[in-house]
Formats: sequence, structure tokens, C-alpha cells
Amino acid sequence: MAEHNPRRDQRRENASKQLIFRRTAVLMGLFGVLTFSVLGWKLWDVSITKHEEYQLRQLQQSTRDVEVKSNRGYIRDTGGNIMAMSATVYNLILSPRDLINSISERQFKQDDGTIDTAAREAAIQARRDLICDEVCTVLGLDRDDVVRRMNKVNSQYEVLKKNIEGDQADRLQAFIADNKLGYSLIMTPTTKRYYPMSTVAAHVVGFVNENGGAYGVEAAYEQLLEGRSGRIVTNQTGAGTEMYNSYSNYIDAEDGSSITLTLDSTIQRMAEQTLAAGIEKYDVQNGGICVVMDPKTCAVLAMASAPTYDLNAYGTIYDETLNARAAASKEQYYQQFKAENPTDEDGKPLTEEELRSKASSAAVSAALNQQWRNKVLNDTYEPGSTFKSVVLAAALEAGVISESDHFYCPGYYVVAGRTIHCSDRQGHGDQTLAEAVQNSCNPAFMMIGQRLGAEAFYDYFEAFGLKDATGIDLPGEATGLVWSRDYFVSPEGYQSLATASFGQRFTVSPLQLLSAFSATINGGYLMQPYLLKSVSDAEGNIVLQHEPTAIRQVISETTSRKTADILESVVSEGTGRNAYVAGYRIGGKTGTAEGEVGTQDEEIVSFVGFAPAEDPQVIVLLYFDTPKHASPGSKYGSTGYYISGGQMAAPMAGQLIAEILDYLGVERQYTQAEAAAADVSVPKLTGYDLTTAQAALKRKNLSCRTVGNGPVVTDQIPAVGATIPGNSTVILYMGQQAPTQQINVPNLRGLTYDQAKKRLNDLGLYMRASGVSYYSAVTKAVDQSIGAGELVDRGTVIPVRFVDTSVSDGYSPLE
Amino acid sequence: MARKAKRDLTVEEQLARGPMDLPLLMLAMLLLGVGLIMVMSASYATAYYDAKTDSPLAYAIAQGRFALLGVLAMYGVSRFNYQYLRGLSLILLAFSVLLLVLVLTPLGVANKGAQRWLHIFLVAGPTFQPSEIVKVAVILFFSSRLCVREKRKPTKWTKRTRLGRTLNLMERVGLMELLPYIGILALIALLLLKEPHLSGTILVFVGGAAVLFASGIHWGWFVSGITLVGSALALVIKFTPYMTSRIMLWLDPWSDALGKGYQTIQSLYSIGSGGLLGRGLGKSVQKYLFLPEPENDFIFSIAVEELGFVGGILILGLFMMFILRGYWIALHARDRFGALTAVGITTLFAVQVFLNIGVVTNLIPNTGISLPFFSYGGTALIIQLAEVGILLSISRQIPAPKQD
Repeated sequence: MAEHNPRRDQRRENASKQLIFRRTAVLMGLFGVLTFSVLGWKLWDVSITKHEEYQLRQLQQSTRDVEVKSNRGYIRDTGGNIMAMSATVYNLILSPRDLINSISERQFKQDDGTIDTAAREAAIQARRDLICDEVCTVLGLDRDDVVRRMNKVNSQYEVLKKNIEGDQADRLQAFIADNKLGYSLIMTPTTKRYYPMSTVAAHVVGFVNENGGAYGVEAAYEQLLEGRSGRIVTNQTGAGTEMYNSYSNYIDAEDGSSITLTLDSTIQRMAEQTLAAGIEKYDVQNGGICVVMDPKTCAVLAMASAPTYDLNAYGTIYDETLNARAAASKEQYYQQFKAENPTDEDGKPLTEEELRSKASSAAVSAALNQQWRNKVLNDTYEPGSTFKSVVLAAALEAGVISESDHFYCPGYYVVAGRTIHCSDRQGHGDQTLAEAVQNSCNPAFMMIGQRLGAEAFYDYFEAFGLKDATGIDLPGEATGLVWSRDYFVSPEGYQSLATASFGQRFTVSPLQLLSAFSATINGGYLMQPYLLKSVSDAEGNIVLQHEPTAIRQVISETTSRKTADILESVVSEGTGRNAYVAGYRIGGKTGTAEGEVGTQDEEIVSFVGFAPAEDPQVIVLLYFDTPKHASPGSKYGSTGYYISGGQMAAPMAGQLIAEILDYLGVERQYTQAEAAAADVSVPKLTGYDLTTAQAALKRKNLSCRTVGNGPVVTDQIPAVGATIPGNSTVILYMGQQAPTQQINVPNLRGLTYDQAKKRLNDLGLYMRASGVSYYSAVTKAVDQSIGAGELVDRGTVIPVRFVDTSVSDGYSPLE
Repeated sequence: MARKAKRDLTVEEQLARGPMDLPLLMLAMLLLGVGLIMVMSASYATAYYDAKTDSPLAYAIAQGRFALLGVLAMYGVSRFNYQYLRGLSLILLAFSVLLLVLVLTPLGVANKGAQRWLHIFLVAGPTFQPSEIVKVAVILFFSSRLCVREKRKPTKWTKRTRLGRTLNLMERVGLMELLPYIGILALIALLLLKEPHLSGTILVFVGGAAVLFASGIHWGWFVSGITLVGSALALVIKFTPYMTSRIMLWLDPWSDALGKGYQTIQSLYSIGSGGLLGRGLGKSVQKYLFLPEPENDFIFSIAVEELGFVGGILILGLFMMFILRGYWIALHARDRFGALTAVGITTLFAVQVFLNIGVVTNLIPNTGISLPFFSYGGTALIIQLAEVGILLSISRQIPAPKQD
């Protein structure tokens, strides 16, 4: 009976039902309410509490920010000639992965839905070959390398070639378009800097490396030239490709401004040629500089520094001497490194090969740094006698000397118990002020310095800006080593005053000297040297016109006038007379100084010249660093020239000044003597009798000699219309014909004016002399435009250059 | 002939005529609708960048087709008198276990290192996971037996042998009653872990355990079972480097941001960048190849990225109401079999939702469970809708409230 009890069964069933009900209610609470509450809380935590953090991170990974380079501005010379420009070039990028993806599997779907892998592989290979062929043909790339990169199937970015230009770029672009390869072969535009004049004014223009302008104007005006890069912000997918429906945000690039310099590329070329010619002529070891400025504004017209380099290949050593020196120094570096016994990052000693390559790169980088240096302002030197112009102007301004003062030079001067010799040990004897400057007499200048006194001297030194950077708009300007005022004015500094008076024992940058020199002759104003003439925006509108800046007036106009006059006499009569050019009144001062204090046979020979003296248009500083000595201790260079500013720098500078003034259209004004020697054209003389002919020649300031005894002139040398220098002798043939055979040009080097003229006249040739203001027994021919041994017609004019070898402004050692 | 009043109908007539539970139906349809829209949005980029698919809408269209089939299956099942399932459940269970065995034979289809699929026609047709069927089969079979557990007679063993006494003890504490269920679960677990398919195993256990719990099995067993599994898990985590690293990765996904933590991080970015109102429907950025499988396990992340916290909470709310309605049906079911089945199915849904959303929000370590009605996957969707059909079928037999 216990087997079946419906009431009990019903009760148990009800209990069971209630149990299920309760348990279900528990589950309902657990899974219907509790879990959802937890999920809701977590959702709040992630999507609201951490919203900003996650959104930012999400944004970073899905945003592609591509920089769009702005076009860098032009650099032009004063005449608008382009010195630096940017052009669009292309980088060719291959995406091996996208190349494979570009061959869609869909095209190879067979009827049964599977994919014909073999056919697809073949299509991929065909496309690869197509690209390989074209790229290797057009760009001359190494095929194996291209194939190797193409097989990097997971790569999306293989740069095949950078900086593709012009025709090559056009052809490749057409190739990509024609074959619809834009998905896997991409040309990205970028800009490249070109320097159309390559080596011209390399140090001024400077160059651009990965970080922007690195040297010269490119660096100084980086901000202006660079412009502002633009950006393209797009969305990218997780695979790194741009989203097909990408929202893009463009920020336009702003092109850089263009800069026009005061520099004149024609004058720059003249300066560079002068510098290069001098370096070769005098066998100069350490290069040199040549700066041309407008003395009234200190606008730089030319600035050359040697050794120079090619801006389009700034990473290679351009100068042969420098290159040879770098090669030679490799061994030195190698020995040095070897002695240091260096190790690599793992602590292993470097192998022989690694040492060699380290030495090699050290040597090359040292040479490169040297070739990039603009010696005009990055380096300093001892100015030597060129500094005397500053002392002269200061003393005249202070009123401690006047033009009528006399100075006696016995060949030495004793300062504080120490004997300091003059460059002319015989002594210059009694001299006027002008003569003392013409002779570049050290004892006279020591006296002038003492009259000025240390305090005043130092005041002027500072006033002429020699303790400050000039403020030129080029980077890396150096200032020299100068005594402190306290030392200079103390009794211990007494000898310093003496040496400073003739420009020794302190250093300034060439640019500092030149701006101070300009102040002595331009009316007394110390100007800030500058290169920037104007700035124009990308559309070509001039947005800034640079005006010259006067720092201060150092001396009065009157003093400046007096100084200029005395300096002009240096060229017309003194140590600068080799800079003389007929027709131009050039003033200037020579200088010869130790290259580096304490070294032997290393002089810097220099000349500062300006013209025209009455209204200076240009001022030139030319110096050569270390002309090679013929033998150690010799006063002569290896090419036979006396080592001094007057003998080496002055003649080159004089010619350069004349060349520049001709180019600038400054008219020559001849003195009477110069006019007499000026060229005249030979009149027609044949058919006339001797008296008539002589009268005609006389009117032309020519003389004649006759050959033969006929009554009338039957022939003449030179021919009608030829131009020959005045005072020349015309040969008249009376009753016979002039011989027609050509004549061997004789070697005139070393002859005096008269000797050379006679030698040529005897042969029926004419001489056009230049180089010095007057000719004496010590004036010697150094150059002839038509070389010895060449055959020329009778009556040809041979231009001959003379120098005055008596100029003895060589370096006089203090010790 | 006049239409008979409802109370005059026989039980059979009532079964044929009873209204299905409209709230549950509407909630299921809403979830399906929102899910379809999200599949379309989330799969768009994947399909676009996948060379193998012909249209960016390929996933959405396929899912739509399955949804249609699923709704039909749901309707069909809802018209089916679930009482027949009491008997069919054993056959269904045997059949599904057979399928699980077949999966392990060469007939099984493998993907990403796991062999979990079968073709519908064994050698052809779309693939499906037999584990989906096993879940339902286990729930039905357990319910069909446990609904009559109070009628079960305790077996009496001889007290003379030690074995007999032990068995008697086990009978007394209720272990003997549990053993067949444990045996079935163990067999299925063995087959599933062989595939391997950990998440499927978990869900089978959850469904079975829910039915067992609801049927009134002593709660002590669940407490001890959970304690046992918990401590075993703790030991495994502590002593196997693989599990340790998984837990570390859960605590700090950024420790391997580009490797194993990538998916979790991208999911957090998606949800996090949605903010309160989201980027707008279809405007997810993360689906563009950042978040792997955006149309599948991580579809909820895309939904929150596009619809924001508000959208996410609304979806959660729909799920919550759906689950509560499922339990409501269980509470009101005509019989215990219906109640237990409804509890099992509802709990299964609830746990899937919890595990999926818990994973995408990094609340729990990654388990790889898809989101019902949302995640892309045809056969799973059909089976889920068929499960809803069972719930609806149960709801039809709920007695009408007494009219006073």
C-alpha cells in the first residue's frame, strides 16, 4: 500500500514543483539580474570611465599623418641669378605584398569554386618580371637586388631608388599608369635642392642636409626658406592601408620665401678666379680668402674661401690638395686609433679592417669639415700690417698725430727694454706720416700707438668692433683672441700695445678686420656686414627689403678722408704699389703675418684695397695662407716670389679691383702720365713723305724709326688702325716692304721696363705695361700675356705686367 | 458550430490553440533584428578587404538567409507539442553523441587547429557544430528524467559487503542519483575536449547543471562541485606556465600588445572609443582590420563603438528581458518537464551572453563564446532560434489564468 498513495504522490509532486520554482527563482536572480548588473558596470567602466584613454589610443593607431614637404625658397644673387633652387624628385617604392594582392584570386576562380593557384602564381610572376625589366632598364638598378626585394612578400615598403628626376620619373610614371601598377609600385614626390652654380659662393650659400639648412645662408635663413610643411591626415586600416572611405584632413604646405643676396655672382666668380690663380701662382698651402664688399654699406658683393667645394656634391672632397692631404692623414689616424686600442660595442678589439675604415672615415670627415669652413668668418687670423689703417685712423681722430708729423726709423724700436725690429732692418730713416704708412714702418707705428696710449687704443679697438662679432647674417661667426683691457692698459701690457700697433699678437676674423677697415675710409661708420638684400614670398612679391645697419660712427668724415688719402698713397707710392692699375685710384694696405703663432715659414700674406679712393665703391680683402717657401727660412716662395702681402696679394687684388670696377661701370680717369701711355690707333702713313708722317705720329703721341732711304713711306708696322700704347715707336719702311715672317716672342720675365720695351721694339713688337704706378730699376716684368716662344706678327702688342720688387714688407719676426 | 470557450477545450485542443508568449517572441525578434544590422555593419569592412568574398554585404546576406531559416524553424518548433520531446530526448541525445563521434572521424571538418564541424549532409553542404545540438539534447534529456525524480525509488544494496554499504551510503547522500548524469556529461566532455572545444564543453555543463540545480539536487553538490573545479583551476593556473600567462594576459593585455593581447586590446579600444553615444551606426573604425573577427565573437564591441554605451546598455537590456522572460516561462510552465527545459535553455542563453560580453570587456579571460542572435554563424543561429521555439512551445501550454 505504500506502493501507491495518490495523496502522498500529490504532496511530493507539489513539493517538487515548489522546489523547482524556488530554484528557478534563484537562477533568475543570478543569471537574469546579477550577471547583467556586473556586465552593465563593466560596460560603463570601459566605455565611459576609460573612454578618453581608449579613444586616444584608438585614434593613434588608426590615424595616418603624412607630412607634405613645402617647397624651399630660392636663393638668388643680386642680379636675380638662381644660386639655390628646389625641384621635385621622386622616390620609387615597391610593395611586394600589394603586388601579390593586386592579382585577385577571384579572377582565377574555377567553375568548381577552387582557385587555380598555378595560373595565379604565373600571373604574379609575369607582373614581377614586367616591373623588374622596366625598373632595371630605366634606372640601371641591379636586377638581383630588385628580385631579392620583390621576394620579401610581407614587406610593403621597399625603396628601390631615391631622387629620381626628370625624364626617368616621367617614364616611370607613364609605365605605372599604363600597366595599372599604382597599387604596388608607388612614386612619392619629395624635393631636392639644386645649386645651379655648383661651386660659386659655396661657403656663402651653404647646403641642406636631412635636418634642413646646415651651412651658410641655407642655415642662416632656414626659417624663411623652409616654409611650413603641410600634413595630410587620413584614416588607415589595421593593415596599414588607407581606408577606402577615409576622411581626410589637409593642411596645406606653405612654400618657403625666396632670398635675394647682395652677392653678385659675376664679382664672386672674379674673386674666386683671383683666389685660385693666386693659390696656383704662389704655391699656397692652406688656401685663402677673397671678400669684396661695398665699404659704405658693408653689403657683401663676393665672399670666396678656399678650399671650396661643389654644393651639389657637398659630401665629396672637391679640392685636390685637400683630398691628397686627407688620403695622407689616413695613416696618421690609423696609427692613432691603433695606439688607443679601441673595442666595439661587444668589447672585442677592432680588426685591422675596421681600424682602417675608421681611420679613413675620420680623415674624410676632418677634410669635409675643413672644406665647409668659411674662413672669412669661421676662422680668425693675425691681421698684421693691414691693421695699421685702423691705428692710423684712430690716431688721426684722437689728434695725437697729424700729416705733418715726422717719424724716424733706425730699423728697430725699443719698447720696455725690448728691441723690436722693422721689416726693413736698415731703417726707413726720417719719414713723414704718409711715408711711414707707405713703408709700413713698424717703429713709426709703435710710436703712434704710444702717443695714442693704451686706454685710447683699446677704446678704438672696441669702437671699431674688433671685440664683437660683426653680426653678419651667416652662422658660426668667430671672434678673435684679444687681450683683456685690464692687462692691456697695465704696465705688463706695454709690449702688447707696441705689437698691437702693427697688427700682431692678437687675432680677429677677416670679416671683423674688413668692416673695421671700411669704417676708416667710408666716412667713419662701422657698418654691419650683410648678405640679405631682400626677401620675397612664394608668389615673388618682395616682402622685406634689407637696409644697411650702421653700428656707430667711429671717426669723423674728415679723419676718414685723410686716412683714405694716405692709404691711396700706399698704392701709388708705397708697399701697395703693385696693386696699381692705370685709371683707377686704388687705396689699400698690405699685410704679412704669422699664420699661426709660433710656427715657422707659415705666413698669411694679405692686402686690403679699395677704390676709387675719393669715393670708395668696393673694398677687397685678399689673403693667401702659407705660400710655400723655396727652402726653409727663405724669404722667397717656391715659385720665385718674395713672400709678402705687397708682392703676392697686392698685384692680384689690384687687378681684381680694376676688373670689378670695369664690371660695375666705374669710369677710368687717367692722370696725364697715364693718358700718355694710353692706347692710340695707328694712322695711315703709307704714301706720305717722312715729315708728314712724323707730324701725324706726333699728334698721336707716337714716335718712329725708319728703315730704308726712300722718299715716301711704302709700308708701316703696325698696320693702319692697330692700337698700340702711346709713346711707342712706329717703324716706317721707306721704299721697301715690311718683312712678313712671324717673330718669336722673347722671354721678358725679370727685365726692367726699359729693357723689356727695347727688347720688344727691336723685334718690331710693342709692349703694353701695367702693374705699377711708375717704373724704376727695381720694377721687373713678371707676366706676359703672350708667352715666350710663341710666334706673332710684327707689330703685335705684348701686354706685360710689372711688379716693384723693392717692396719689402715681409714678415719681421718679433723674436 | 459555435467556437468553444477555452476552458471547455480538452488538453489536446488547448495545446493546439494556446497562444505563444508574445513578449519572448518580440524580444527574440528584436535581438535578431539588431543582431542582423550589426552583422551587416561589422562584417562590411572584413568582406570588403577579403578577396574571396564577392560583395561587402556577403556576410550580411548569408546571415539574413540563415535568420529566415531560423525563424521558420522557430515557428515550426513552437507548433510542436513539446511533450513529445520527453521521449525523443533520449534519441536526440544518442544521435548528438553519435555526431560528436563522427566529428572526430575524417568526416569532421577542421578549422584553425580544431575539428568541430560536420557537413549537414555529412560529405556536402554547409557546416555546423554538433556541439550546438548536444547542448539542447542534454537539457532535454536531463529535464525529461529529472522532472519525475520524486518517483525514483532508491535502490537498496546489500549491507553485508563493504561495497554494498558504500553504495548504500552513496545512495543516501544522493550521489547514486547523480551518477548517470555525471556519466553522460563526462562522456560528452571527453568527446568535445578531443576536438578540442573548451567553450562548448563549458556550455554543455552549464545547461546540464542548470537543469540539475533547478530540479532540486542538493545544493551542497553544486557548492562542492564549484569548489572542486575552482581549486583545480587555481592549481592548473599556478603550475602550468601556459595558463599562468593567459591569466597574466587577462590582467594586463598590454604585456603582449601585438600578440596574444591584441584582440582584447582592440576590443577595449572599440568599446572605449564608442563613448556615451558612439560613432554612429556603420561608422566603426575598429572593424577596418584592427579588431579580428568583428562580425563574430567581438560583434558586441563594434556595436558599442557605433552605438555607444547607450546602445550597449539597450542591447544588454533586451538580453536581460529576454532571459527574465525565459525564466518567467519556466516559473509558469504547465509541467515540471517544461519548467526544467525552459530553465536549461534560458540559463544557456544567459551564460553565453555573460561569457561573450564578459570577454569583450575583458571582465573574464578569453573563452571564445559567440553572442546569441548577433554573432555571424548560420547553423548556430538556426539552433538558437529553434531553442527559442522550444521556449515558445512551452509557453503555449501555460494554463490560462483563472477568470474570477
